[in-house]
Amino acid sequence: MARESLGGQLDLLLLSALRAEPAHGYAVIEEVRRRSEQAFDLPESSVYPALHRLEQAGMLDSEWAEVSGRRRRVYRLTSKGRSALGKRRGEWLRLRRGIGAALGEAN
Amino acid sequence: MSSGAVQRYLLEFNDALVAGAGRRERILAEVEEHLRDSIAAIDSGLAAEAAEAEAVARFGAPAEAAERFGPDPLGWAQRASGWFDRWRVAHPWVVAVLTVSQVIAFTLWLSGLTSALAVGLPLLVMVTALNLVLRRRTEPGYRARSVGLSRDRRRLAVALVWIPITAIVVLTEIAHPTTTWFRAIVLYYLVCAAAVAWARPSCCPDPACPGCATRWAVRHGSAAAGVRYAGWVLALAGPALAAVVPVAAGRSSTALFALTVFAAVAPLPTRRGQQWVRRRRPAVVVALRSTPILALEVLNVVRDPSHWRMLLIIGAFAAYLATAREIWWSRSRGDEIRRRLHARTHQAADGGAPV
Repeated sequence: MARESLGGQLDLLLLSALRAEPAHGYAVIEEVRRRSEQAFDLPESSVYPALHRLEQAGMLDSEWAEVSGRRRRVYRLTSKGRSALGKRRGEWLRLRRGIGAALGEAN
Repeated sequence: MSSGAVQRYLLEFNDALVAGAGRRERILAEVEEHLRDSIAAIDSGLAAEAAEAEAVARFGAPAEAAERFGPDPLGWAQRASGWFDRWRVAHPWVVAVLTVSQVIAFTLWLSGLTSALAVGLPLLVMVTALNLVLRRRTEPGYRARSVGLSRDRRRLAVALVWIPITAIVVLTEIAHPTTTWFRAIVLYYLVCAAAVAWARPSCCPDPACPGCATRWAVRHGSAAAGVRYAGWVLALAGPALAAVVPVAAGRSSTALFALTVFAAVAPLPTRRGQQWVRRRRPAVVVALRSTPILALEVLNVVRDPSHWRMLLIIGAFAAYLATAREIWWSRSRGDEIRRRLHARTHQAADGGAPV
């Protein structure tokens, strides 16, 4: 699915992928792919700028760490990121219910 | 075997990226790690070259990918200083006149035409000489010579720096003759600063620099450390000495001001202190070292608000120095990153270095 089709939900997907445990950029992309059952093939070069942006906004924290014998930048969710994730998830669910209702789908 | 596609990609990506050195290094490292993961994950049935090409294609065109990271202020400043350098090379005289005219205008506003000319004319010669040197360095076939300058050329280089500075001091002194106590204090701190600078253990960050190895301070480490400490102790004792020595006429406050200038510019006496300074960002070092002088000037303004001009000049100069040194640091590290990427690209093209 192309980035345009994500409808600005890239941040929500990235925050959600990091909810369980800290991960490096490639692992985040893989996690989103796995959870979405390959529906979201994130445009790779847009993930890192988004991770940097979320870090600047204080929602993520990152540090260099040794992962599988290689030095990787590992991202983790901050408390601000957790509350932002909860808020955006709520917004998304409301949006999904609203669109579903407008399309005449049963709840 | 590597086809070098990743290295070529990183080189193009680096050229398109508008970022300061620290952020640039981090982004490049992340992108490279991502591409390595991507290659490993791509179907192992593919040849290495095909896997690399596929990984690079998935990441997107280098210019577009770099643009997505967005610019940062240091990156823009670095790019702008690169343009400025190209302009300096193309029009050395014009740029020298434009640069120095700002200093002349400022000195004119501060203390009149004679001082403005006394400061401006030697400075114009110095800036033009620097621009011409830069032009010479960009000529085809020029080879940088960090060491091995002939003794005559070295003397000429020292003269090019010191003659205009001496001219500024002499002409300013003629325009506004100072008193004996002021000259005594300035001379005292100049001697302290010269001694500490002369006895510093190295002249550049390279520990293996052959130029540094021939210096007296390196060959006689203990004696040089003694000179450095003596210089600092004498500088710190300056305000107390000024209170009792008749030639200083009890001008402890002037000596204290000179001490803060000394503390801002003189190399630190200990090797550990100098290493600490090298590890810090230039803006942090400038901010820390200019704190005493700024604090003193703030106190002066609180006591007498008419001192605001001096506070403004020192604050503006510290801000300029911090910005200029930060840009220079970022540019030199950026050049180093580019050289490294170039070398790795050539290595990959020649012998198939691992990705």
